[in-house]
Parts: sequence; structure tokens; C-alpha cells
Amino acid sequence: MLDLFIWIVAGLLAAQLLILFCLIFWKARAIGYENKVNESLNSLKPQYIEYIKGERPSEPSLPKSKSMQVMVMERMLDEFYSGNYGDLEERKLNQLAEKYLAAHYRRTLKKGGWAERINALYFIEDFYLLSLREDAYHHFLKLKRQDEEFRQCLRVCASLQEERILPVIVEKEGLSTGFIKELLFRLNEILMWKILEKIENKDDIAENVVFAFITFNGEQKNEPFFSFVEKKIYDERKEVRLKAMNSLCNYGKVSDPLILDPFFASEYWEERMYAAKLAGACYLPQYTQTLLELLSDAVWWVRFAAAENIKNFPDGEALLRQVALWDEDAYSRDIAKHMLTRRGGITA
Amino acid sequence: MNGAFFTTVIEFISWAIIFYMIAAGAIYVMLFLIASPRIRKEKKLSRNEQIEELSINKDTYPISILVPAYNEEAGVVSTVRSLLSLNYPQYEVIVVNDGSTDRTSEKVISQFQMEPIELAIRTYFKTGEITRAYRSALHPELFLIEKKNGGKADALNAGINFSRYPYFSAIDGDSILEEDALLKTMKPIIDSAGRVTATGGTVRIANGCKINKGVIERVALPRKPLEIMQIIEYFRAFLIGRLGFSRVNILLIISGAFGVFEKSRVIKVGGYKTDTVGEDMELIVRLHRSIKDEKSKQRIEYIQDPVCWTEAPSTIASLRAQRIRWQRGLAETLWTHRKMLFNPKYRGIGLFSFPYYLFVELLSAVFEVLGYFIIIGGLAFSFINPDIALVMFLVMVLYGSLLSSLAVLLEEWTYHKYPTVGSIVVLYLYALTETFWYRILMNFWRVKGLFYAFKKKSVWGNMERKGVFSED
Repeated sequence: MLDLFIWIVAGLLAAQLLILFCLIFWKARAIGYENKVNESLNSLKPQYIEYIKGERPSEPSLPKSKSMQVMVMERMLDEFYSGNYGDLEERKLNQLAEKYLAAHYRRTLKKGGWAERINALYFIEDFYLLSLREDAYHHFLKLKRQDEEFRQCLRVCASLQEERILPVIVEKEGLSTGFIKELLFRLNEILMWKILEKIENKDDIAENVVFAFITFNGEQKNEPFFSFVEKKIYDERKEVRLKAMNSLCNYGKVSDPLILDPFFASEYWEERMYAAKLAGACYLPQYTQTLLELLSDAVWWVRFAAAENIKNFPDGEALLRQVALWDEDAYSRDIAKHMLTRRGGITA
Repeated sequence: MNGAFFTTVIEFISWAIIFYMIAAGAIYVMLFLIASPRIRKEKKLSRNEQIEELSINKDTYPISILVPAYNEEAGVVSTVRSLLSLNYPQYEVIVVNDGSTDRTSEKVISQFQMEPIELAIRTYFKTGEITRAYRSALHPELFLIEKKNGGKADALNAGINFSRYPYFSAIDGDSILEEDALLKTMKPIIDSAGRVTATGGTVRIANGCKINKGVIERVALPRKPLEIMQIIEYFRAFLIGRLGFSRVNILLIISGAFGVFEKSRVIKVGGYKTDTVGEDMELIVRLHRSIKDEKSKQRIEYIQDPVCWTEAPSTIASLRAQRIRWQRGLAETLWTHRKMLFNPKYRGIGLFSFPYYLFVELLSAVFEVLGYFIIIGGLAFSFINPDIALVMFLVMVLYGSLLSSLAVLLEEWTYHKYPTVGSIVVLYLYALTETFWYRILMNFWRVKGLFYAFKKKSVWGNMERKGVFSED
């Protein structure tokens, strides 16, 4: 028995030591490789910047090893696309990506591991490799699980304006509102109109798609779709109305302020809150008195929205100060005081 | 006759301990096997590319970062500074000074030009009285609230009351986050459209690292063996244990040093429990309980990559205090929720996690200490067959040193955060020594903690801060 345990412990220790030596060897090799890549990058970057800017006639020569070429070019272009190098011409960056990386990514999509395929998809999108549009779409058709690869592949297709994914956006179950918005963000106006057409002509469309379309257009202040969004504040579904009101806040306008009137007295506190927000966002000081009345609303969020938006109006702070000092209602005094002193959160 | 009976009993206990430790070791290996496919799958994934989108996306939920601080004058400024430079679209930082007796508040106030503000707080939970609140004139997203001392859980509850965003993150006052850590921790929540309700990241030890203005500039090993051993211990806990549990949605711990929570669910379960020292684990257990009670499909996840760097105790006294506190916390949580143990209603949590935490995490120290006495006493007084004593010793080496050295190899295979070849060798060799000194210390303290669990008293502990973040 003792011998068996001695052998087990000794065997495991020996196996670990072997693994340790392998890891040390790999690490030393990886550090060496990394140093080489960095050296190449440091010497090639200024030369390539000159070349891209047209200040150098011929293209600098990359290391001979294919894998090193891909690594150096991928990192260099990633840095160039990050925008830290000023006005580098995107067309030339794209040409370099097509020349050195497209074939590599095509191979990776076919034969690479899960993580490598996703990395390839990230870069196909970052470098806008149009030549891989068909490959990306066919790769998408092969995916069965809705994981990161599925999402990134859809993003790539959307970025490359692949029309065949529109039915997926509109009909696929389980896509979140946020993710659909990410896809809409990538589509051009022509494809956006096609999405709207599908929304308007299909009865059983997923609510997430409607939410995403309304919200996204508000956030982007997309004028062509303003009237569609505004129309949605009369939708029979409460959630759709709320999304439309929120979106109008982002537009910062309504075609006629009178459309807000019924919402100030809505039975739903969310609608009262959004009405208050819209009055502020659209800068409608004629509603100051209405907002003052909402300071004593039963719901904290409505009071908060009313106070926050009164502050946006001329003399808003003075009005809130008066309320904080003299109002008979304790809720109103409290929220006015709070609004005058507390501001939180940043939007980067 | 009596002597022979005594020897038989001791031998029986010895074999029980040997089998127990083999079983516990096997569970670790099983957890490793559960975790490793995912680690292997994601090993080459570009983490930065993955979060590029989130950092500009308007759907990245805004988040309130709560920093409970009690006598954290040495590290709080660096912690806040690191939080203010996070890559995240919309967030606020709320430092909750829980009645510190040192200059925690003064340091924050002077460093960030804090100005007094009026208090209008939504009260989800009753907490110790809040005496003052401040907002920074330099960073409008930074708040400091001062309250009467009530313990870490009470401070966190006060922070939740004050916070305004739908998610909150709890960060210890002696920790710093990597720039993208919050985005990476939020990613599963965003990707799952809220299906994930809480996430925790990896905690690593900052002792020995070069830190400048709240940012880790160079990762390096500390000099003190005690600190090095804690690094190895954290590898073992995070890389082997938590990922395995998370994979099957039975994770019971999100470190108090770094976790993200859906505020509405935490409010629903009543916030942090103030009469335990293990408030972080206790909250997770209650969240699981409420998820299971509601038959909800929500999950709690651990993500390996986002890293929070924390200051580890560097003295025997402070490490002892910390471990006694952890063990008490674990015991209290398991006792509070003892009805979940072996309860099929709670599925994996009741049938696997709870028994694991009870028999492996809580009671292993008792078995191991008993083993020490049997080995030493048995050999000294010859009441045990030396072969059995040696087998037990070898099993201890297997369970302690070899599992920890495996964790070191796993770290190098996956994240290799330590940049030099020398670091791996040092970590590996230290891991091999674990059974012979570090584990013995830990086990005695953990047994002590178990005894202390009967004497309930809510304290923050007396960790001495060397202030590894304060050199800037």
C-alpha cells in the first residue's frame, strides 16, 4: 500500500515537473517571439505610416515568415484603425488588410478553433474586409449555437451590409433588444428601410425588434424614421408607447407639444414620468406648472423626473429653491432639495 | 486489550481521513476537469476586441460602484483613482466610510475636492445613521457618504440605498480594478439580456506588483513567502474551484472584493445580512435561493478574465485574523441556510455545493489537524503503524502541495500574468512546500475560526494595511 502511494505521488510530481519544463520552454519561446514581433513593429510602423501617407514610394518589406507577417500586420493595422495615428487613409489600410490578412482569416474561418474564428471575425469587421462577405455569411449559416461566435458573425454580416441577414434580425427568436440595436447600428439607410418595411408588414413581429428599432432611431436622432417613432406613442402596447416616448426624448422634439397632454395624467406612472422627461428634453417651458404639480406625485421616479426637468427651464433652479423652502408638500420639498444638491453619473 | 482497541480506533480514523482527503482531492480534480474545456476554448480569445463594442454601446447598463471603507486610509485614494479611470460608459463611484477612526474620509475629501451635499436617499434597507454626504468638485460621478459604524454589510446596504443605477458593483477599499475589468464582468449580463443576475471576477494579489496612480504597471512576485503562498492559494481557489462551480450554475461565492449585482434582485432578497462576517457568500446563497424559489432561469457566473488586484495580509497576525473571519463567515452562512443542505429542491446547490462547502471547505481543516496529531503522536508514541502514518502524509502532500502546484501550472497555461520564467519556477517551488508549513498554519486558524463562529460578533477584522497601493 505504502509503495503504491509513493509511486502515485512520485508519478504525479514527475508529470508536473515535465509539464513545468514544457511550460518554461514555451514561455521562453513565446517571450522571444513576442520580442521579435515588437522589434518588427517598432521598426516597421513609422515606415508604414510614411507609405500610407504617400511619403514613401515603395511598400516596406515585412518579415519573411508568413505567420510573423500576419501577426505584425494585424497588430499594426489594429493600432492604425484605433484612430491614434490621425488621418491615415482608410482605403490604404483596407488594401493592406485585404492583401495580407484576408486569406488568413478565410482559412481561419474554415479550419481555426473557436477562439481563433471569433478573433478573425472581430478583425474582419474592424478592417472592413468586404472580400470576406460571402465567407462570413456562409460561416453564419453553419452556426448552430447562439453564442459569441453567432453574435459576432451577425455583426460582421451587418457591417458588410449583407441583406440576407435581415430576416434573421426580424424573425430569429432570442435576440435581445440591445443586440438588435447593435446590428441596426451597422446597417445603412437602405437596409434600415427594408427592416421598417418588415416591421410594418408583419403582424407577429417580435417586440424586441420594434423596441430596438424605436430606441435605436431615437439614440441616433435618425430623421427619416422620426414620424414612425412618434406614431408609436399611440400604440396599444404600453411598453411600445414608453419606448417611443423615451426615443422622442432622445430626438429632443415632438411635432406638436399638445400630444403630451394626456400623458401627464396617465394612469401609468411610467407615462407620467416620460411626459415630464419629454417636456424637459423638448424644452417646453409652458409645462412648468404641470411639472411643479408632478413634484407631489405618489411615485418617486415621477417626482424625480419632474424636478430634474424643471431645472432645465429658465429660473428652474430658483423655482426648485422656492419649493424646497416653502412648499406645503413634504415630498415636493424633499425632491426639490435633492435635485438642487445631488448630481451623479457621467456619460463618457 | 485497551491498547489494541485504541490502536484499531486510531487506524480506523486514519483511514477515514486518508479516504476523505482522496475524495476531496478527487473533487478538486473533477472541478478542474469541468473548468478546463472552457479555459481551453477561450484561451486564445482576444478579450480586448470582445469589449470594444461595449465601451461605446448605450445599452451597457450604467453601474454604481460601492466602496465600503473602514480604516482604509492607506489604500482608499488609489482605489478610487483606479475606479475613476475605468473604461466604462456610465458609472458612479460611492465610497461609504463606515465610521472609520483613521483619516479615510479626510484623504478622500482632500484628494478629490469633495463638497457637502444634501441627502435624499431612497431607503431600501435600514442602515446605520448616515451623517454626511459629499460629491467631488473634480469628478461629478464620485460620492462619499459617512455613516456610523455598522460593519461592511451595513456599509454596502447604505451604498445601495444611495446608488442610482440598476446594477452595482462591490469593491473592497483596498483593491484596484484593471481598466476593462468592469466591462468584462458586465459582458455576460449584457449578452444574456439580464439572464445573468450577478457576476464575479478573479481576485489576484497585488503585493509585489509595481503600481502607479492606481494602475498596475508591472506584475511581479512579492518577497515574503507568506504573500507568495497566498498568490498560489488564490490561483487554486479561482482557477480550479470557482470556474468549475460556475459552469454548472452552483457557484456559492462571489468574492467581496469584486462582484457585480443586479440591484433589484438584491433588494428583493433584503440586501446584505448585517449580522454575519461572511456577508458576500451569504448574499449569493440567498440569491440562489430566491432564483430557485421563483423557478427563475437566472444565473450567477464567475468570469476568469476580469481582474481585481487586492492587498493581501503580509503579517502572520493579519493573515490569521482574516482566515478566522472567513471561516466564521462560512460557518455562519452554512448554518443560516442549513435547510438547503441535501435538499433536492435546490438541485446542484443543495446536493453538491452545500455538502462541498460543509465537508471540504469548512471541515477539511478539522480532518487535517486531526491527521497532524495522528501522524506526530502516532509515530512518537508508536500507537500507529508507521506505514499508515506515511500514507496519510503522502495523501496530504497530494492534496496540499500537488494540487496547488497544479494550479500554478494552470495559471501559466492560461493567463500567464507573471511575465518572467523565474516567476513560474518560484511559484511552483513554493507550491510544493505548502503542505509543510503554510497549510498547517491555515488549518489551525480555520479550526480556531470554527470555534469563534459560536461567539458571534460583527467586526471588520484587524488587517494591518501596508498600503501596497499607496506608493504613488
